[in-house]
Amino acid sequence: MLNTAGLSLEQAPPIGVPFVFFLSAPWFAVVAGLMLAWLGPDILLTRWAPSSLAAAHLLGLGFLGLITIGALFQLLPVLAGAAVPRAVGVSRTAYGLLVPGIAMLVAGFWTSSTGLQLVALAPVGSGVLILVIALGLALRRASAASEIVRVIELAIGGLLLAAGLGATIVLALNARVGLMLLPAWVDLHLSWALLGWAGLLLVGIGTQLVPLFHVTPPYPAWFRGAAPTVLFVALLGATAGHIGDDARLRVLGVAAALAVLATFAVLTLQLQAARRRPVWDPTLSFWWLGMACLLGAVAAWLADAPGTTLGVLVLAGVAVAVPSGVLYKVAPFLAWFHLQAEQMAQGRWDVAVPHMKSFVGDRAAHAHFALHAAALLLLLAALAGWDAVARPAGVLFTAASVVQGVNLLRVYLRFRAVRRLLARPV
Amino acid sequence: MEHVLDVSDLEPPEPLERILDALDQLGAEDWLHVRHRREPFPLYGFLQRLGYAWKTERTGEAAFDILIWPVTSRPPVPPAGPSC
Repeated sequence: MLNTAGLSLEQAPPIGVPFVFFLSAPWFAVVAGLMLAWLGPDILLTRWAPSSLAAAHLLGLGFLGLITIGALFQLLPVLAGAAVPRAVGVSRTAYGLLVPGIAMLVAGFWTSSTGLQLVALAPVGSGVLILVIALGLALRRASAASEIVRVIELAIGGLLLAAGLGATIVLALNARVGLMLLPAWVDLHLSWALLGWAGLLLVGIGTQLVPLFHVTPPYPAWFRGAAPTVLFVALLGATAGHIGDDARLRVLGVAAALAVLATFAVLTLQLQAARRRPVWDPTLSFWWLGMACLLGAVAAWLADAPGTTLGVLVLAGVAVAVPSGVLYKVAPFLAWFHLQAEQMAQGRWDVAVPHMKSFVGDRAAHAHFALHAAALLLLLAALAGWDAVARPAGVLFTAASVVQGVNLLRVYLRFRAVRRLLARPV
Repeated sequence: MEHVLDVSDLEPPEPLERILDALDQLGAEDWLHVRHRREPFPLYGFLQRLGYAWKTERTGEAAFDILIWPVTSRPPVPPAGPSC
């Protein structure tokens, strides 16, 4: 294959595009941590409690959603040579709709106000639609017809289904229609949100970023080729099982989807153990914790564990831990990359661009990891019946998220300080 | 004259740094032959801005050959090697 196409520096979106999402996301996790610290074990009693629903959406939409959106704006050009059209306008509009929309939705869940949930549908739904259209256009322009393009296309399908099901549930609750069917629809919404959107992105982006940043051998071709399709088709099967009231098909579909994710976890741990540079860094700690929780979640599902245990393992263990680790590579890389480009544009060779690793120190990132891992451990202990540790778990989770927010802010402030030096007249 | 640079075992952003450093040392009639484990999309923008042309060829599952030369000189003859 001969390829002379590529990405011009002008095509790469300004650093503010992904960073506004990265800098906002941890504060949604802070609110979830504060809720746990305040409400204690009550929040862990059942996944149907208003506070549990609110916390789940703070982490799933507020934290994970914002980070994945920010990351896609910048990773698509880097991994697939596909720039999102009008990235600044699209990202600002989506951010302006999603952040207040998610806050409203969470408030609606917590206060059990179906009216507020209904009002929140408009900004959240239009924010998601704008993103889906923009990402779809970017993928059509991809200069590399690669695996990552196909995975993101499928993940967008998962996002649309998850969002559509979520909106249907809110509408049904508001109109008090079909309430008997709600638990099944909620399970479907959860499957598409966590496995169809987040799971597919985890597999798609993980198979790209793990070999890239940890210098490991590539994931086996059979896995990269088959995993996204099998995962998506398995979820379609589970959906058909739900609609047709076929319990066997439903369980088989979810089991197949979880088998793909468990395989991904095992392969990730194997590849990272075989990395060419045996250096340990905070990103690896987060990955290992995330993959252990992913395997734990699969085991919990097989053991028919309560929904709250699964929720904690998947949301706090995987959906918060893995993106947190990845951000310690991606955020400094973006800061370094944009400063290099700026230095070249200004011809300011007298100003040194800091090394990528100096944007956020390993100690600060390890502190974040230690707090997060301790919070998770206490959360699991609380779920096992040790109620007294639920509030301390909330305090630690809050502290971990604050440290993360500050670490990411430091990266951005360092970037701005060096950019100011580059822009200063000689 | 060809200068060969293997960045296959390096963690980002070292490949980009090494390539930009190597280009700094390149003579007017020279070209750089980079061996990489992935297609380096972010590099291309820098090359464009610095006045270099490039050709990328995938030679294996995780192997890419990138030839880089000044736009003012003639393209080098690609080295013989496996093709996909």
